[in-house]
Amino acid sequence: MSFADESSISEINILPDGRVCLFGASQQVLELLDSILVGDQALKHRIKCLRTAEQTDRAQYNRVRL
Amino acid sequence: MDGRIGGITSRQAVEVERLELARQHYRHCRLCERRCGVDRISGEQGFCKAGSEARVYRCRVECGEEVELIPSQLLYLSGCNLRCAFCIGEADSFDPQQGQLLTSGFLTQMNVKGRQQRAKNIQWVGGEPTIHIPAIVAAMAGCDQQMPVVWKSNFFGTIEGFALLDGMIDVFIADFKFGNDACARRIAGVDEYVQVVTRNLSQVAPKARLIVRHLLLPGHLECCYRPIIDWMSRYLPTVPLHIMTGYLPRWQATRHRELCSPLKHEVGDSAIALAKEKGLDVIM
Repeated sequence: MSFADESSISEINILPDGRVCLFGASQQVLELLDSILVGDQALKHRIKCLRTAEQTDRAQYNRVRL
Repeated sequence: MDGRIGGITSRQAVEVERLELARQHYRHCRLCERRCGVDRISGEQGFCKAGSEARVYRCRVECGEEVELIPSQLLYLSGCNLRCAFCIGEADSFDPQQGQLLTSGFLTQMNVKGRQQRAKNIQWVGGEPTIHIPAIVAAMAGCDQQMPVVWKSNFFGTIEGFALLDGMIDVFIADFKFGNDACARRIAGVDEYVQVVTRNLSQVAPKARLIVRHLLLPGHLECCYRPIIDWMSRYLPTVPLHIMTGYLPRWQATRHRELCSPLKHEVGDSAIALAKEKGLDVIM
Protein backbone atom coordinates (compact mmCIF):
# COMPACT_ATOMS: atom_id res chain seq x y z
CA MET A 1 0.00 0.00 0.00
CA SER A 2 1.38 3.40 -0.91
CA PHE A 3 0.99 6.39 1.39
CA ALA A 4 3.79 8.63 0.17
CA ASP A 5 1.64 11.63 -0.73
CA GLU A 6 -1.30 11.15 1.56
CA SER A 7 -0.45 14.20 3.62
CA SER A 8 -2.50 16.27 1.20
CA ILE A 9 -5.64 14.12 1.50
CA SER A 10 -8.47 14.99 3.86
CA GLU A 11 -11.82 13.30 4.13
CA ILE A 12 -14.86 15.54 4.40
CA ASN A 13 -18.32 14.24 5.26
CA ILE A 14 -21.28 16.59 5.11
CA LEU A 15 -24.30 15.48 7.12
CA PRO A 16 -27.84 16.27 5.97
CA ASP A 17 -28.22 18.91 8.68
CA GLY A 18 -25.16 20.77 7.36
CA ARG A 19 -22.61 19.61 9.91
CA VAL A 20 -19.20 18.87 8.48
CA CYS A 21 -17.07 15.98 9.75
CA LEU A 22 -13.43 16.21 8.81
CA PHE A 23 -10.79 13.48 9.06
CA GLY A 24 -7.08 13.82 8.38
CA ALA A 25 -7.34 17.59 7.99
CA SER A 26 -4.47 19.54 6.50
CA GLN A 27 -4.02 23.22 7.32
CA GLN A 28 -5.05 24.18 3.79
CA VAL A 29 -8.33 22.30 4.09
CA LEU A 30 -9.02 23.96 7.45
CA GLU A 31 -8.42 27.35 5.85
CA LEU A 32 -10.71 26.49 2.96
CA LEU A 33 -13.49 25.38 5.29
CA ASP A 34 -13.00 28.46 7.41
CA SER A 35 -13.73 30.60 4.38
CA ILE A 36 -17.00 28.69 3.84
CA LEU A 37 -18.08 28.03 7.43
CA VAL A 38 -17.47 31.56 8.62
CA GLY A 39 -19.18 31.17 11.98
CA ASP A 40 -17.39 28.05 13.19
CA GLN A 41 -15.50 29.08 16.32
CA ALA A 42 -13.75 25.74 16.80
CA LEU A 43 -12.30 25.98 13.30
CA LYS A 44 -11.24 29.59 13.84
CA HIS A 45 -9.50 28.72 17.10
CA ARG A 46 -7.63 25.86 15.45
CA ILE A 47 -6.45 28.00 12.54
CA LYS A 48 -5.42 30.80 14.88
CA CYS A 49 -3.22 28.34 16.81
CA LEU A 50 -1.64 27.06 13.60
CA ARG A 51 -0.92 30.58 12.37
CA THR A 52 0.57 31.59 15.72
CA ALA A 53 2.86 28.56 15.59
CA GLU A 54 3.79 29.46 12.02
CA GLN A 55 4.69 33.02 13.03
CA THR A 56 6.76 31.76 15.95
CA ASP A 57 8.64 29.41 13.61
CA ARG A 58 9.27 32.26 11.20
CA ALA A 59 10.48 34.58 13.94
CA GLN A 60 12.87 31.92 15.25
CA TYR A 61 14.16 31.30 11.71
CA ASN A 62 14.75 35.02 11.20
CA ARG A 63 16.58 35.30 14.51
CA VAL A 64 18.88 32.46 13.49
CA ARG A 65 19.60 34.16 10.15
CA LEU A 66 20.42 37.49 11.85
CA MET B 1 20.45 20.29 24.89
CA ASP B 2 19.39 16.80 23.95
CA GLY B 3 21.46 15.09 26.64
CA ARG B 4 23.79 13.26 24.23
CA ILE B 5 26.13 10.71 25.77
CA GLY B 6 28.58 8.92 23.48
CA GLY B 7 26.75 10.05 20.32
CA ILE B 8 23.26 8.99 21.35
CA THR B 9 20.56 10.97 23.12
CA SER B 10 19.52 10.12 26.66
CA ARG B 11 16.15 9.04 25.27
CA GLN B 12 17.87 6.70 22.82
CA ALA B 13 19.84 5.21 25.69
CA VAL B 14 16.55 4.36 27.42
CA GLU B 15 15.18 2.91 24.18
CA VAL B 16 18.22 0.70 23.67
CA GLU B 17 17.94 -0.53 27.25
CA ARG B 18 14.23 -1.34 26.81
CA LEU B 19 14.62 -3.05 23.48
CA GLU B 20 15.72 -6.45 24.74
CA LEU B 21 12.97 -6.52 27.33
CA ALA B 22 10.41 -5.50 24.72
CA ARG B 23 11.52 -8.19 22.29
CA GLN B 24 10.82 -10.89 24.86
CA HIS B 25 7.13 -10.24 24.18
CA TYR B 26 7.60 -11.53 20.64
CA ARG B 27 8.37 -14.92 22.21
CA HIS B 28 5.51 -14.83 24.70
CA CYS B 29 3.26 -11.89 24.03
CA ARG B 30 1.82 -10.06 27.02
CA LEU B 31 1.64 -6.61 25.46
CA CYS B 32 -2.13 -6.29 25.61
CA GLU B 33 -4.67 -7.52 28.11
CA ARG B 34 -5.76 -10.36 25.85
CA ARG B 35 -2.53 -11.92 27.23
CA CYS B 36 -2.49 -14.53 24.48
CA GLY B 37 1.15 -15.48 25.12
CA VAL B 38 1.80 -16.49 21.51
CA ASP B 39 5.27 -16.86 20.04
CA ARG B 40 5.08 -14.25 17.31
CA ILE B 41 8.58 -15.00 16.00
CA SER B 42 7.70 -18.61 15.18
CA GLY B 43 4.52 -17.50 13.42
CA GLU B 44 1.92 -18.11 16.09
CA GLN B 45 -0.91 -15.63 15.96
CA GLY B 46 -3.01 -14.13 18.70
CA PHE B 47 -6.19 -12.13 18.32
CA CYS B 48 -4.38 -9.22 16.62
CA LYS B 49 -2.56 -11.56 14.18
CA ALA B 50 0.58 -9.41 14.43
CA GLY B 51 3.98 -10.99 13.83
CA SER B 52 7.40 -9.66 14.74
CA GLU B 53 7.29 -6.72 12.34
CA ALA B 54 5.22 -3.55 12.37
CA ARG B 55 3.86 -1.91 9.25
CA VAL B 56 2.75 1.66 8.62
CA TYR B 57 -0.27 1.84 6.34
CA ARG B 58 -0.66 5.60 6.38
CA CYS B 59 1.61 8.48 7.26
CA ARG B 60 0.71 12.11 7.02
CA VAL B 61 0.81 15.47 8.75
CA GLU B 62 -2.59 16.27 10.21
CA CYS B 63 -4.16 19.31 11.84
CA GLY B 64 -7.32 17.70 13.18
CA GLU B 65 -5.80 16.48 16.43
CA GLU B 66 -5.93 18.27 19.78
CA VAL B 67 -4.95 21.91 19.28
CA GLU B 68 -1.84 21.70 21.48
CA LEU B 69 -0.45 18.94 19.24
CA ILE B 70 -1.01 20.25 15.73
CA PRO B 71 0.45 19.99 13.16
CA SER B 72 1.29 16.39 14.00
CA GLN B 73 3.02 13.71 11.92
CA LEU B 74 0.82 10.65 12.33
CA LEU B 75 2.10 7.12 11.72
CA TYR B 76 -0.78 4.67 11.35
CA LEU B 77 0.29 1.15 12.28
CA SER B 78 -1.76 -1.73 10.96
CA GLY B 79 -3.11 -4.38 13.32
CA CYS B 80 -5.34 -3.97 16.37
CA ASN B 81 -6.29 -5.85 19.52
CA LEU B 82 -9.88 -4.58 19.48
CA ARG B 83 -12.63 -4.82 16.84
CA CYS B 84 -14.75 -1.75 17.40
CA ALA B 85 -17.71 -2.05 15.07
CA PHE B 86 -17.60 1.68 14.29
CA CYS B 87 -13.85 1.79 13.48
CA ILE B 88 -13.08 4.56 11.04
CA GLY B 89 -9.90 2.77 9.97
CA GLU B 90 -12.04 -0.19 8.90
CA ALA B 91 -10.51 -3.45 7.69
CA ASP B 92 -7.10 -2.02 6.65
CA SER B 93 -6.29 -1.03 10.18
CA PHE B 94 -6.93 -4.57 11.48
CA ASP B 95 -4.65 -6.33 9.00
CA PRO B 96 -1.05 -6.24 10.28
CA GLN B 97 0.24 -7.16 6.83
CA GLN B 98 -0.86 -3.81 5.41
CA GLY B 99 1.66 -1.06 4.78
CA GLN B 100 5.36 -0.38 4.70
CA LEU B 101 7.80 -2.03 7.09
CA LEU B 102 8.68 0.14 10.07
CA THR B 103 12.44 0.63 10.37
CA SER B 104 14.71 3.27 11.90
CA GLY B 105 15.47 4.54 8.41
CA PHE B 106 11.81 4.91 7.63
CA LEU B 107 11.17 6.69 10.94
CA THR B 108 14.07 9.06 10.29
CA GLN B 109 12.62 9.90 6.87
CA MET B 110 9.20 10.54 8.39
CA ASN B 111 10.70 12.80 11.05
CA VAL B 112 12.45 14.84 8.36
CA LYS B 113 9.31 14.95 6.23
CA GLY B 114 7.21 15.93 9.22
CA ARG B 115 9.56 18.75 10.16
CA GLN B 116 9.46 20.05 6.60
CA GLN B 117 5.70 20.38 7.02
CA ARG B 118 6.14 22.03 10.43
CA ALA B 119 4.93 19.07 12.45
CA LYS B 120 5.57 19.57 16.18
CA ASN B 121 5.62 15.89 17.04
CA ILE B 122 5.42 12.37 15.75
CA GLN B 123 2.34 10.44 16.76
CA TRP B 124 1.96 6.67 16.92
CA VAL B 125 -1.60 5.65 16.12
CA GLY B 126 -3.28 2.56 14.78
CA GLY B 127 -4.75 0.17 14.48
CA GLU B 128 -3.14 -0.03 17.89
CA PRO B 129 0.51 0.79 18.60
CA THR B 130 0.61 -1.24 21.84
CA ILE B 131 0.82 -4.53 19.95
CA HIS B 132 3.93 -3.20 18.16
CA ILE B 133 5.88 -1.79 21.10
CA PRO B 134 9.06 -3.83 20.38
CA ALA B 135 9.20 -2.71 16.73
CA ILE B 136 8.48 0.89 17.69
CA VAL B 137 11.15 0.90 20.40
CA ALA B 138 13.63 -0.59 17.90
CA ALA B 139 12.81 2.05 15.30
CA MET B 140 13.07 4.87 17.84
CA ALA B 141 16.34 3.56 19.26
CA GLY B 142 17.96 3.76 15.83
CA CYS B 143 16.58 7.19 14.95
CA ASP B 144 18.42 10.27 16.19
CA GLN B 145 16.13 12.79 14.49
CA GLN B 146 13.28 12.41 16.96
CA MET B 147 10.59 14.97 17.45
CA PRO B 148 8.52 14.77 20.66
CA VAL B 149 6.54 11.52 20.73
CA VAL B 150 2.77 11.16 21.12
CA TRP B 151 1.22 7.78 21.86
CA LYS B 152 -2.45 7.43 20.89
CA SER B 153 -3.85 4.20 22.17
CA ASN B 154 -6.99 2.34 23.21
CA PHE B 155 -5.21 1.81 26.57
CA PHE B 156 -6.02 -1.89 26.61
CA GLY B 157 -2.36 -2.69 27.18
CA THR B 158 -0.79 -4.54 30.09
CA ILE B 159 1.15 -2.98 32.93
CA GLU B 160 4.25 -4.68 31.50
CA GLY B 161 3.56 -3.14 28.10
CA PHE B 162 3.16 0.37 29.49
CA ALA B 163 6.30 -0.06 31.60
CA LEU B 164 8.28 -0.45 28.38
CA LEU B 165 7.21 3.07 27.39
CA ASP B 166 8.23 4.80 30.63
CA GLY B 167 10.25 7.92 29.87
CA MET B 168 9.94 7.52 26.12
CA ILE B 169 6.61 9.20 25.46
CA ASP B 170 5.90 12.92 25.79
CA VAL B 171 2.11 12.80 25.50
CA PHE B 172 -0.31 9.90 25.87
CA ILE B 173 -3.72 10.12 24.22
CA ALA B 174 -6.15 7.55 25.55
CA ASP B 175 -9.30 6.59 23.72
CA PHE B 176 -11.78 5.89 26.52
CA LYS B 177 -14.46 4.29 24.38
CA PHE B 178 -16.93 2.55 26.67
CA GLY B 179 -18.23 3.25 30.15
CA ASN B 180 -19.25 -0.35 30.93
CA ASP B 181 -18.09 -3.85 30.09
CA ALA B 182 -21.31 -5.00 28.42
CA CYS B 183 -21.09 -2.34 25.70
CA ALA B 184 -17.37 -3.02 25.25
CA ARG B 185 -18.05 -6.73 24.79
CA ARG B 186 -20.94 -6.24 22.40
CA ILE B 187 -19.37 -3.53 20.23
CA ALA B 188 -15.60 -4.14 20.47
CA GLY B 189 -15.42 -7.82 21.41
CA VAL B 190 -13.38 -7.27 24.54
CA ASP B 191 -13.73 -8.32 28.19
CA GLU B 192 -12.91 -6.47 31.42
CA TYR B 193 -12.59 -3.27 29.46
CA VAL B 194 -13.37 -0.69 32.13
CA GLN B 195 -11.12 -2.17 34.80
CA VAL B 196 -8.16 -2.37 32.41
CA VAL B 197 -8.51 1.07 30.89
CA THR B 198 -9.12 2.89 34.18
CA ARG B 199 -6.16 1.09 35.75
CA ASN B 200 -3.90 2.20 32.89
CA LEU B 201 -5.17 5.77 32.94
CA SER B 202 -4.49 5.97 36.67
CA GLN B 203 -0.97 4.59 36.17
CA VAL B 204 -0.01 6.88 33.30
CA ALA B 205 -1.54 10.15 34.58
CA PRO B 206 1.09 10.89 37.27
CA LYS B 207 4.00 10.07 34.95
CA ALA B 208 3.35 11.91 31.68
CA ARG B 209 1.12 14.37 29.91
CA LEU B 210 -2.20 12.58 29.36
CA ILE B 211 -5.20 13.55 27.25
CA VAL B 212 -8.36 11.44 27.32
CA ARG B 213 -10.56 11.23 24.28
CA HIS B 214 -14.11 10.01 24.06
CA LEU B 215 -16.07 9.59 20.86
CA LEU B 216 -19.72 10.11 21.71
CA LEU B 217 -21.72 7.17 20.42
CA PRO B 218 -25.41 7.57 19.63
CA GLY B 219 -27.54 5.82 22.21
CA HIS B 220 -24.64 5.49 24.68
CA LEU B 221 -24.97 8.68 26.66
CA GLU B 222 -26.26 7.07 29.85
CA CYS B 223 -24.47 3.72 29.67
CA CYS B 224 -21.05 4.91 28.45
CA TYR B 225 -20.60 8.65 28.47
CA ARG B 226 -21.95 9.38 31.96
CA PRO B 227 -19.88 6.68 33.69
CA ILE B 228 -16.78 7.94 31.89
CA ILE B 229 -17.18 11.56 32.95
CA ASP B 230 -18.18 10.45 36.45
CA TRP B 231 -14.98 8.42 36.69
CA MET B 232 -12.91 11.24 35.21
CA SER B 233 -14.30 13.83 37.59
CA ARG B 234 -13.61 11.53 40.54
CA TYR B 235 -10.15 10.23 39.67
CA LEU B 236 -8.63 12.42 36.96
CA PRO B 237 -10.40 15.78 37.26
CA THR B 238 -7.51 17.82 35.87
CA VAL B 239 -6.72 15.60 32.89
CA PRO B 240 -7.89 17.23 29.65
CA LEU B 241 -10.89 15.55 28.06
CA HIS B 242 -11.54 15.78 24.34
CA ILE B 243 -15.16 14.95 23.58
CA MET B 244 -15.53 14.07 19.93
CA THR B 245 -18.95 14.65 18.42
CA GLY B 246 -18.25 13.58 14.83
CA TYR B 247 -19.45 9.98 15.04
CA LEU B 248 -20.34 8.44 11.69
CA PRO B 249 -21.54 4.86 11.16
CA ARG B 250 -18.51 3.13 9.61
CA TRP B 251 -17.28 -0.43 9.08
CA GLN B 252 -19.72 -2.76 10.87
CA ALA B 253 -21.57 -0.12 12.88
CA THR B 254 -24.85 -0.89 11.16
CA ARG B 255 -24.88 -4.30 12.87
CA HIS B 256 -25.88 -2.37 15.98
CA ARG B 257 -29.22 -0.64 15.71
CA GLU B 258 -28.30 2.41 17.80
CA LEU B 259 -25.06 2.98 15.87
CA CYS B 260 -26.70 3.26 12.43
CA SER B 261 -27.04 7.05 12.41
CA PRO B 262 -24.72 9.99 13.02
CA LEU B 263 -24.83 11.62 16.44
CA LYS B 264 -27.52 14.27 16.80
CA HIS B 265 -26.16 17.77 17.10
CA GLU B 266 -27.96 18.56 20.36
CA VAL B 267 -26.61 15.38 21.99
CA GLY B 268 -23.06 16.57 21.46
CA ASP B 269 -23.79 20.01 22.88
CA SER B 270 -25.49 18.69 25.98
CA ALA B 271 -22.73 16.13 26.58
CA ILE B 272 -20.06 18.83 26.48
CA ALA B 273 -22.13 21.05 28.79
CA LEU B 274 -22.46 18.15 31.24
CA ALA B 275 -18.69 17.59 31.36
CA LYS B 276 -18.11 21.29 31.96
CA GLU B 277 -20.69 21.29 34.75
CA LYS B 278 -18.67 18.56 36.41
CA GLY B 279 -15.64 20.81 36.26
CA LEU B 280 -13.74 18.74 33.71
CA ASP B 281 -11.14 20.35 31.48
CA VAL B 282 -12.89 19.96 28.14
CA ILE B 283 -10.55 20.67 25.26
CA MET B 284 -10.79 20.82 21.46
